[in-house]
Amino acid sequence: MIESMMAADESGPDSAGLLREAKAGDRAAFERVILRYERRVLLTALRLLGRWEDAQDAAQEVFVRLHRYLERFDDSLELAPWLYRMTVNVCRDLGRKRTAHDELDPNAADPAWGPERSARSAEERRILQAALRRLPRKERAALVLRDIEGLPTREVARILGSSEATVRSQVSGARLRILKLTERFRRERT
Amino acid sequence: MSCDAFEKLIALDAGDDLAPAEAARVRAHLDACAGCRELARNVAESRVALKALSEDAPDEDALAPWRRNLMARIEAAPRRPALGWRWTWAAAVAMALLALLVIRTIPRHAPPPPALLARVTPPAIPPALLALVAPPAILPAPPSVEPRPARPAHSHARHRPAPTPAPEPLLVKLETSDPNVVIYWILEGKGN
Repeated sequence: MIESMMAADESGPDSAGLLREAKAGDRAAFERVILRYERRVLLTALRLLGRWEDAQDAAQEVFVRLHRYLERFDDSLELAPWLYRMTVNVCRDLGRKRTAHDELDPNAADPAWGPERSARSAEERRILQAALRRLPRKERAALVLRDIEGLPTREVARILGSSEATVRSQVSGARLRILKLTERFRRERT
Repeated sequence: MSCDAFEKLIALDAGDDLAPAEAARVRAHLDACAGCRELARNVAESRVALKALSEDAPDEDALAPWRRNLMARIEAAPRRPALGWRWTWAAAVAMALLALLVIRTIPRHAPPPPALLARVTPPAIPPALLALVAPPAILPAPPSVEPRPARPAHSHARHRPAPTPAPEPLLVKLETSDPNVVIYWILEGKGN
C-alpha cells in the first residue's frame, strides 16, 4: 500500500523488479530505484533534520546502505517501509551528532528548495519548519510520518518500532504543540 | 469531562485517529463548546499546512550534484554478499564440529592421580611408641601435678600459669588413600 502511495506517479517496472535487476548488477536499475524514491527520502530527512545539507547527507547514507545490503534484501518485502525506517534511523544518528552549537536558526530557509512561491506561503512554510524543529524528536518523527507522509498509524508504529497507542499519543501531542508553536512564531514576526 | 481533557482527543479526531465511539463523544462536545470548535478548526488547518510540505520538490539543480556524489559513493562502496543457504549450512556444520571438538577435549572423569615420585618407607617405630598409637580404651589420666611451692606475692608473674611437666610424646599415624603411603607424626609438645 505504501509502495503505491509513494510511487503512484511513477511509471515503469515495479520496485521489486528493479531491485532484482539491480541485484544482478544492473547499475542503471539501481539508479532508477534512486530516482523513484529520492524525493521522498530527501523530504522526510529534511522534515526530521530541518536542514537541507543534513538531509542530503542522510539521504545519501540511506541509499548507500540499500546498495551495500542489496543482496540481503528480500524481494518479497516492500521497499518503502524499509526506506522510511532507514531514513528515520540515519536521521536519528545524525541528530545525535549535532551539538548544541549546531542548533538550527529558525529563520533559516531551505536554500536549494522551492519552485516559485508567494512570499506569504514561503513565510508560512518557514514558520512550520521552525515549529517542526522544536518538537521532541520522537513526536516529530511520528508527526512527519503520519501527517506529512500520510502513513497509517499502524505503519508508523512499525517503522518507529513502537506501539500504535504510543504513536497516537505522540501524534496528538505533536499536533497540539505545533499549533501553539506556529501561533507563537507568527506573533513574534508581526 | 473538561475541555482540557478533550484537547488530545480533538487533536486525534482531526486526523480520524479515534475509534467511532470516542469520535462521537468528541463531536458531541464540539457541538456544545465554541472554544473547542475553534481548536479543532485550527488543528485541521495546521494539518493541511503540514500535508502541503509533502508537495515540496527539490530543485533539479540541487539534486543533480547530490545524485552524482551518491553514485560515486556507491561505486566506491563494495556490496556485501548475500548469505545464501550454502553459506548458512556451512556455518552450521562448522559450529557443530567446533562444539564436538570442545566436548571431546573436556575430560569426563576426574584426572588420574599423579605418578608416584618416590616410595617412602616408614621409619621403624619402637614398640613403646607403637603401644601409644594403639587407641587406648580410656584416655590416659592427666599426669599428676606436684603442689606448687609458695611464691613471693610482688612479682608480675603472679598470673603466669604454672609450668606443666613435659607430656609424653604423641605419635600420630595418618593413612592416605594410597596404602603404600603412611605418614607418622611424632609430637613432642611443650605443654599444649
